[in-house]
Amino acid sequence: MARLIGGVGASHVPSIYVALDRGLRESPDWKPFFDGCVPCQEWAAQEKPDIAIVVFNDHGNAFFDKTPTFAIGCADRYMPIDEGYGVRDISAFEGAPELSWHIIDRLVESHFDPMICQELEVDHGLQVPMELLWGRPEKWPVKVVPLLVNVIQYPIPTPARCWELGKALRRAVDSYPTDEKIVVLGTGGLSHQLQGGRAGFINREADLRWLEDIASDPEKLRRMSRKDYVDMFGSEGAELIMWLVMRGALHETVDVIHRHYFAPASMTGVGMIVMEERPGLVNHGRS
Amino acid sequence: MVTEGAGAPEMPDVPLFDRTRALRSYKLNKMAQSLRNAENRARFKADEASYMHAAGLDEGEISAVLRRDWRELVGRGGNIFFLLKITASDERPLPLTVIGAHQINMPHEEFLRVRLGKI
Repeated sequence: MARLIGGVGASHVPSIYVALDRGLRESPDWKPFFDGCVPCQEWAAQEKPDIAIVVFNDHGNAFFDKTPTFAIGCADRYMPIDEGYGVRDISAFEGAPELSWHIIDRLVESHFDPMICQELEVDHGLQVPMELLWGRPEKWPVKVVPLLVNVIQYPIPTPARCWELGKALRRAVDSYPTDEKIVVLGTGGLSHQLQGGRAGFINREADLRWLEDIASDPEKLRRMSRKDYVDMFGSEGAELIMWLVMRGALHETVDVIHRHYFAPASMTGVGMIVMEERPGLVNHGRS
Repeated sequence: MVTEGAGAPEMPDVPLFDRTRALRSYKLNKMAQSLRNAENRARFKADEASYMHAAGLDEGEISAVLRRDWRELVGRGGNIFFLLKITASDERPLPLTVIGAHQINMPHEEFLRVRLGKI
């Protein structure tokens, strides 16, 4: 059976790729952030997952007038989308359609009904976390399953719903009949607000607490309301609910392999965490 | 606080993209989102006002886009993720922080320091 090797939480701020494009990796503004991601990259290189399930949101690129609350790509490949600045010169992402369809089947049986995307172009929400973990290879070392969550057009799903989706996702992974190694990426955040009178809001204390709680007390995060997320992390930072899909897929007890925080990256507090389950623990997703 | 432009609504502190805002600004956001496409960007750049008229925007919206008045555009219900495609179509797209500062009428350096805590 397929094996879930761990969960990664990662920001997907576009200024991260802009910094890389402009050769600012070593600049004082960016070096502390990129240096902090190195242990996560080392973990990925060592564990060599075969497939990454990437939980992210589209930013008005693939979807506008139609807004799926949850959507899953099941294509052979995903091209980077033109977000208005031209198509980025990065490699296309190879899909894992067999696993995508399997997840769709199992989710619907679990009474989650995602939009099924047989063609999909992906924006920075998927691109940036992939680049943070694997750089800019000619060929990505992992296949991807894009799992999109609406966090822009209200009503967005509740944190509890995202958590439950994670549990259903885990049951799907556990019942997938291959020997592949799978990692789940929860993306977005951390605190930021890009618009309105509170534009520029960043909450460093809440961000640091989030990076603790996501590992040790995710139940607390799952019980918070959407308004709690907006108040604490900003209107755009509320997208952190996507990490709950990733965390819900993991056992309640995890070991933190690495945790990293930096602020501000452009207008956002950015962070990364890698979590593994302890061998021998039966995961709660089955119960 | 209301900026120039007749009928420009007030800027809320936390403009969630809810039903009210999505409906009020549907055409504005749809026009901005259409700039995701390179051919549309070329048409927009050739004649912004015509492009926006064709997209059904009202005069206040068109004026705010022409002035790149981010504060007013957000006040009118524009959502940042769509609005960004307007600046993306410009010769020199603005950094997000400039658009953030503009929304609250704060000088950029002060915005970086006071809001974002940049030293």
